[in-house]
Amino acid sequence: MTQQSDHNKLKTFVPIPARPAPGASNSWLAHLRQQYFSTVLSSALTVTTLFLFYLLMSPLVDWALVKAVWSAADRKECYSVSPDGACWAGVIHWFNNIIYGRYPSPEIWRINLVFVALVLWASPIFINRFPHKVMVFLSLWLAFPGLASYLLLGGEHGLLTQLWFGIACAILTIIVLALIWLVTGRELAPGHSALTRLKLPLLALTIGACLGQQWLILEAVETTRWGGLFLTLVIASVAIMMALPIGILLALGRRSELPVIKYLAITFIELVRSVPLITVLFMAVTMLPFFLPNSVELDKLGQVLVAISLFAGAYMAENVRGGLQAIAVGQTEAAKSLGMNYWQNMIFIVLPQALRLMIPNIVTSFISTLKDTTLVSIIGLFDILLMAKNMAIDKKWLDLHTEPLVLIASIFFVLCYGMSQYSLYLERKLQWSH
Amino acid sequence: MKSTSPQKTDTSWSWHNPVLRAWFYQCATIIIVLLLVYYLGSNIIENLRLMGLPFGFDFLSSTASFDIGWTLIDYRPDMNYWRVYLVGITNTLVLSLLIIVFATVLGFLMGVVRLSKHPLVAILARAYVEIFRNIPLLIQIIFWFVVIFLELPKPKHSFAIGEAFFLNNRGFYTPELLTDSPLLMVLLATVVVWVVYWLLPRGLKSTKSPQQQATKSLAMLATTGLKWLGYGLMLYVVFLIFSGNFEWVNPEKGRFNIEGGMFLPAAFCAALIAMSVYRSVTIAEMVRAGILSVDQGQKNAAQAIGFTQWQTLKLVLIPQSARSIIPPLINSWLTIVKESSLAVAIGFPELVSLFMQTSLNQTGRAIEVVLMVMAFYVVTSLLISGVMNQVNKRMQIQER
Amino acid sequence: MESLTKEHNATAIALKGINLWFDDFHALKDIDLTVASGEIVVICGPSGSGKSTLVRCINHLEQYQQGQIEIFDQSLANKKVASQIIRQDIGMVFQHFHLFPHLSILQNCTLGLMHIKGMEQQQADDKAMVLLERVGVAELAEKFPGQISGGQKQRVAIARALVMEPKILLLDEPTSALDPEMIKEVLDVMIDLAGSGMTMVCVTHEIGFARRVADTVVFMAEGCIVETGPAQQVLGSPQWDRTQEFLAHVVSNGAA
Repeated sequence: MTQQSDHNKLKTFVPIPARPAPGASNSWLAHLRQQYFSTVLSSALTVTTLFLFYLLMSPLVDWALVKAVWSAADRKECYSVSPDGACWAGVIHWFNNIIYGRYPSPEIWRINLVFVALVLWASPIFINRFPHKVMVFLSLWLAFPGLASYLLLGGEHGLLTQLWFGIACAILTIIVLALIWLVTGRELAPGHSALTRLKLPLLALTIGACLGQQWLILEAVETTRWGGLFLTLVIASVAIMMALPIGILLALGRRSELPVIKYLAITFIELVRSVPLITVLFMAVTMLPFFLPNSVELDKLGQVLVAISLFAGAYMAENVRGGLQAIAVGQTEAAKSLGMNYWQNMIFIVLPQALRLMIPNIVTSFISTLKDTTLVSIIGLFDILLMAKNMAIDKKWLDLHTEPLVLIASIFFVLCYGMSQYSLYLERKLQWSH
Repeated sequence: MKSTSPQKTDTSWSWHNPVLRAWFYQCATIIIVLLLVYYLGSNIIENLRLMGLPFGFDFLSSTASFDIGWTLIDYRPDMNYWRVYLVGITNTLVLSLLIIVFATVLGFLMGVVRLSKHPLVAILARAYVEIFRNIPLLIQIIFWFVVIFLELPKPKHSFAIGEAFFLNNRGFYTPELLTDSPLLMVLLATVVVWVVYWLLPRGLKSTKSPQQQATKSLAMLATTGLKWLGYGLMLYVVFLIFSGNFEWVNPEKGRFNIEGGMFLPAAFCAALIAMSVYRSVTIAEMVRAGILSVDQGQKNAAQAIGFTQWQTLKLVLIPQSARSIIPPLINSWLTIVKESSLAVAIGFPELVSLFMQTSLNQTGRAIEVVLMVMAFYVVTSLLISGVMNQVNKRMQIQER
Repeated sequence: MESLTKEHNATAIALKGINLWFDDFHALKDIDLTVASGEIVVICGPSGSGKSTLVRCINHLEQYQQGQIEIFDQSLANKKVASQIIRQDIGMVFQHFHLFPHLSILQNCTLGLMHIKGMEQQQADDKAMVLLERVGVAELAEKFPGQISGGQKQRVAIARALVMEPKILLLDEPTSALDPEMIKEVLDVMIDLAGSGMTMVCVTHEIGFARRVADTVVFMAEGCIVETGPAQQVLGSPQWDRTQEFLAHVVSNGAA
């Protein structure tokens, strides 16, 4: 082409400079108009929703805050002071019951201690810089119950339980030390050097904790006195902790190529998923005694824990199955070509990846299980809902129905909404890291 | 086993032989399961013997001798436990069906509202979803029952709508239609209409291949089904009017109570409202996700052809989102049937309350009762799952 | 083919001073363009230059903040008029076809006829079949979009647009999503269309098509129109360096 001769005659293109968009620096008034009043329909909606909001919120605020009674000796007094207002005084009086159930008051520090220990133990999982998150999680899963059961149940224990408690104490100490390390700005070495230095002190601590139990026997608190939010959280946590391994086993069974195992797994999963939880709970309470020999007696809490764990496990199995399917078949083939057998492949290659994908699902499962624990109130376990309902039978607070329900509804809302937002955050984080 | 390992398949009697391993695992599992069954079974037999309760379903023919607050079918205390079982099933199904209808309608509405871009509407819709989703259903049911329905005025001072509807703290009263022609006639009329439709010349002259007719759009199928049902209902109403075979019974204020008409107890109403609202949230999210999942380009294409917003929604977006909405929708219907059992907490006489609580307590036959109740839920579950599989299959045919 | 009611030398599309912002990004800057009735205009340019955005403004798929668009001397500013014009006078073909997957090929074409033009089923079917034959996919009428190839899909998309009897056809990179073997079949249909006197505004990288069929070529970069003129001139001896640069790249990449 005649490019060379035309080259000198080509005009240089200079793009028109970009200008700011019109209306970008407009006043907030114009912005308001655009968002809320841009069309007739839009304006109508704005007005209607504002009106609806006012209609709903003003009596609510009136009842809950403006006319509410915050301190009174009993219902009658509340009523005489302010008949149209909420009687929060009753809820405040009963607050300890709603949170801790009928746990003896002087022993409540044990529940708080367990909670603090749990928070400390679990915090490494949420801190980005902390390594070995999987180890921490596994230790939480395996060792923490030793600590918790000792503190919560009290009473005398056999040697094995004491050992369990001792190991739990040791691990908790390691984690707390690591956290302190982190907080004081030092980098966490892979841990080995620190651990080897601490080997002896830790051993001493473990033995000390075991022996300490001989002297420091805590007052035994039977599970029938457990209740309130404390019991709800115990049931939900145990259920989810047990549901994970049950779900993984069932999911693996379902994907198995061995027909016997596969159909057993499918039958169990489908049966459990076809029936409502309340029937499983009723079944556990009425039928489990039939299944066990006369010598073994499981208390009601135990029955309920078994039932809910199996139930949650069947649903978890479906979640795990989704996670397993999402991990490319290529991963398994790569593992096989390295010479791994089925279990090695599963444990080291597939499951870690699948579980990581499923963490948001697991959080969602936990939220469901937490909401489902309210069903134990129907069979007479004193979870937070039954405590709230029992307030209305208390002579001093007869017929006080609404306030405790509102309180526990708010508690659940805060917990569940918080966790669901966290799970959304996790999902986004996981998306980016993939 | 369909192993693709690079080594030659070992056929010897060693542990490395995958076929042998498979057989071993399976035999081991069967043996373990059989042992477990034997262990549990012998425990059961021993315990039953100790308690003096033989296993058997003969208790079903003994008299129940307790009253039930609300039944759809006839029931008197001198009827047997089998009748109680049937009452429980019908009550559960009626409650579930009504919840399904209300929850689906409310859910679709809220789903579309959730799509609004108006900031205030979006906030309100989001608040609706988050509030009713994060509070446990049982708490919501108890709230509606205890805080709302039991706080309604006593029968003497009932709320009245016109002269025919009454609302008080015992429940809701509506006029009742008494007729000798049962509602089965509606189904009969529907079948008649359907047959006539297919026999019409238009149906015969269709030039489309049989395969095409079989793959009619799912949404079109649903709407035509509803259309026929509508025609059937109209035919039934006409028939009723002409035969004069009906009577409206209005509830009336008696001396202490409202008498006559149809009575829906407060527990029923509370359970209905609470569970409909709770499920509507899940359905709303489904609808919203479904419509959002349709490619934006489809909207562009429809706009370019010249369809209005409403036409685009009706002809392009909704048929395509139906694909992703319908399977989880049917799943949530199944969940509704299961969740209806929570009405036991407020005393509504559905299956769990009547059979698993009252009857079990009276007869002590835990195993038989549990088996029967589970059987109902398992069968219902299988039926609904079966429907969903059929629906899925039809949609697969259509796509490829 | 039915005669389209247009007069030669009437202005089909007039864009005056179009400016468009996406949030703070100034996507179209002071665009002025006139398309005469029956003219074939090809818009080309590097990605991000705003070509698709410009074409989508014409049938209101994108909202511009400043400027004026007139179709056959009727301003698009009035919403009611605009939607009527768009329905009757403008058709569009998309890069990713956007066929309705839940309807058969025939139904894709007849949907608009039945619901917008109110035709009877039989009449709509006949009319659609004529166009499907014209683009060469008549035998696919009963199939679904998921069952046919990309080239066939795009030809159906063209038929679907044509069946509404538009006076102007907009094409947004119609061959960019196609495998190389299928580009030719779609280009053949477009060339055939161009020969029939349709007003076309086509965004494309197919310089060969432009050379063969276009009356005017518009070259855009960074939201502005760099150069517009007769195809031979812009493609053969461009006046701006930016155009030259682009054409050199296109040729060296084998798209001729």
